[in-house]
Amino acid sequence: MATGKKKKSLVDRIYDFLCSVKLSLGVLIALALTSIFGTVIQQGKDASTYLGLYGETWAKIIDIFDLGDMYYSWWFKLLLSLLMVNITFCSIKRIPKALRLMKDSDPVYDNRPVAIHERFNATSKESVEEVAKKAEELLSSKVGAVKREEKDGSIYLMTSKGKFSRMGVYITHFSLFLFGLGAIVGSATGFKGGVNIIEGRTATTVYDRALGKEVPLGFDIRCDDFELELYAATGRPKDYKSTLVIIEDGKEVAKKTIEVNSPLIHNGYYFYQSSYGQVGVRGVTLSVAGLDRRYIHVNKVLGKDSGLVMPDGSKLVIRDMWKDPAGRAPDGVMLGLMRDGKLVTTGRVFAKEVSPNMWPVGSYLVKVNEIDWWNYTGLQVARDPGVPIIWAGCFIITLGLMISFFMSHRRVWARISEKDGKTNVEFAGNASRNRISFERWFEVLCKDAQETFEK
Amino acid sequence: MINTYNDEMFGIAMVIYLLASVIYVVYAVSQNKKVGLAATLMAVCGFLVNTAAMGVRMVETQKVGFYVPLSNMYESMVFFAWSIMLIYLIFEYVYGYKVIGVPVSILGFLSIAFVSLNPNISSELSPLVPALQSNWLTSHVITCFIGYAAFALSFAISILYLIKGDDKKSGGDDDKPPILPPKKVLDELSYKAVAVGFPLLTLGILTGAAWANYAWGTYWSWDPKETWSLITWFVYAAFLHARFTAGWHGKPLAWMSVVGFGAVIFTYWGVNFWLSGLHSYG
Repeated sequence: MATGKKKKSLVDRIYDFLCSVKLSLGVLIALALTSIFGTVIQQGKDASTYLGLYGETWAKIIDIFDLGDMYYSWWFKLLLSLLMVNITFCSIKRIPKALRLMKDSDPVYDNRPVAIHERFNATSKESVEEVAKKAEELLSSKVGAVKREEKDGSIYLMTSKGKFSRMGVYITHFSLFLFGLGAIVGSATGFKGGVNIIEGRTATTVYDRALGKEVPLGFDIRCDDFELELYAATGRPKDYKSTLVIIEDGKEVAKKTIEVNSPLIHNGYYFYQSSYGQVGVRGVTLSVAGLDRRYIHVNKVLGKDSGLVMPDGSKLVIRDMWKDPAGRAPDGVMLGLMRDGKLVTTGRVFAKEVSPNMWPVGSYLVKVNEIDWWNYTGLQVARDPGVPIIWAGCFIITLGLMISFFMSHRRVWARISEKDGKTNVEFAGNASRNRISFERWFEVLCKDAQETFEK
Repeated sequence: MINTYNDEMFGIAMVIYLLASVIYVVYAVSQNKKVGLAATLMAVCGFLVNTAAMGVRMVETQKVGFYVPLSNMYESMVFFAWSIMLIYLIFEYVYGYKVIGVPVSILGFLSIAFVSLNPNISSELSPLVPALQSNWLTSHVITCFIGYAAFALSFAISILYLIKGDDKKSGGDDDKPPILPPKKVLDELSYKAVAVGFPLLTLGILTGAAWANYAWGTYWSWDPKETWSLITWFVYAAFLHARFTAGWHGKPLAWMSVVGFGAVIFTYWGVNFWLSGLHSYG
């Protein structure tokens, strides 16, 4: 008696642990809790930044546990792996049982340990065989293929629907492996980088963020144009657009005007619109007044290499773009006045949003209506062969969740037997989940049955 | 500022939700069927005004360049109020426990009140910044917020569970039925709401990832918003496994639902107020 319970071996205990829901819950909660660190501590900064932000002790802790890059740290990866191991063992343990339940089609239900969720009873004057035939017709038209068996003078029927729903949870879990695989493929073979291209220029290399240097991609990228569109009402950015051309072996092979949310794709490389800036001025549309504020020129276009003749014979020209070294003032344009080929004076002017809107250049006041900037476009470049695997994972997890939450394995048994000279028909139902909707469904089935048998 | 009508309509919906919650309380105490009907009608009325207000706002966006108004804190909060009322009314229709209407209509009231009475949150129509001009916006926001609303419903039910004393064994000498549904029912309904919310949150994260891949060049960058949505997902995944596989019921699960909703709130508000990241629109 006392020796009846054997102590489990270590292997068995490890196996039980790896299968256990305790491990699942532990890992899920640990992942939830630890993930918080990475949202509070800025990620990807260097040790000195943390030292300045949090002091010596915390900087040390951050260093030891890799909290500055925690989602890629060994222990976070270990937690994720543990979750996967848990899912694997759990599936190995449970799938055979689920398959047995899916295959189960034994019509004789009364002496088996089947939980009966719903029951229905009716009597008929017709013979057992006739009633059985009607019941079989009803069940096969309303539910599915019917299996029949005779035992002790009674006829047993069984049918089921949605047995595949028992696989929903395993399909859902399987998708998590695809996410993991996609991420691994992406980080092992992917490319992340960026490039700034000045309008009209061609880039032959792209900065590789992982290697920390410029690399060629096997083709060149030219930026023909960058355009910033503003909302008329608010003056806020409406769209950033770059017209890009891909050049391979001297030939233009692709061209697209990209914008945020609409990248250019070539050879698996995605080019995303990410930033922009100015490198110079191509022209200015301006009005010029004398010091008496009387206009001399209105809305004239001044190009980079042209000049605007003033009443005193001097020429207004564009010198260059003007940038505030401290970065506080907005970007402007340096204009100059030339006389006899010599620069007489210069003056900064700004776009019309900046007040005051009349800027002095020598003895003239200049109002800028528009600046035609010479821009560069900032592109993000990415290639991730793992993405299709991720999309497959997305599709499968959606499918798995739909099956898991909104379908159920519904089984219906029938027993037709003779009792006191009458034929007694009994229905019994069982659902793997969603009992409330099963109850309604079973009720409708029973209503049909009532009509069939009492006719 | 452009003159609009939708803000006033949201204000009306807010007041109706408040009235509905009062009538639900009267119903809970009196158990009078007519009062119960009045409460439901009031809630439906608020929901319809809320719906109409969103429609009007959508039409009014034409003044600044048409967009689907789901793009900032104001627009998402009034949509959240709409979502939680929608899910609750479906639950009321299917399962018929009206007492849950008390915390739910208070939540509906609060979520509109929070944005329309808060001077820091603008109700102004503002055209979409370039990053938001995408067809993913609508599906991403709708899945996330209906998911959040389902979690809010589970939270409301769990609160009722936690404040309710033990069920009486039998009718006893009470001549009135208890105000709150049996604990078993509350436990079941709280789970049902999570079962609606979890697939929707998952879809919300997936649509977000798909969109990020097109807008930011990577489907996952551990941005605080992404990470917090994943934390929320972990918590509810734990909830579902605790219930299904470990067989938890009752109090611990109710607390888990409360914690989960805390994570939802942090994902939505906390991240925007306290943490910086890419997802700065709402």
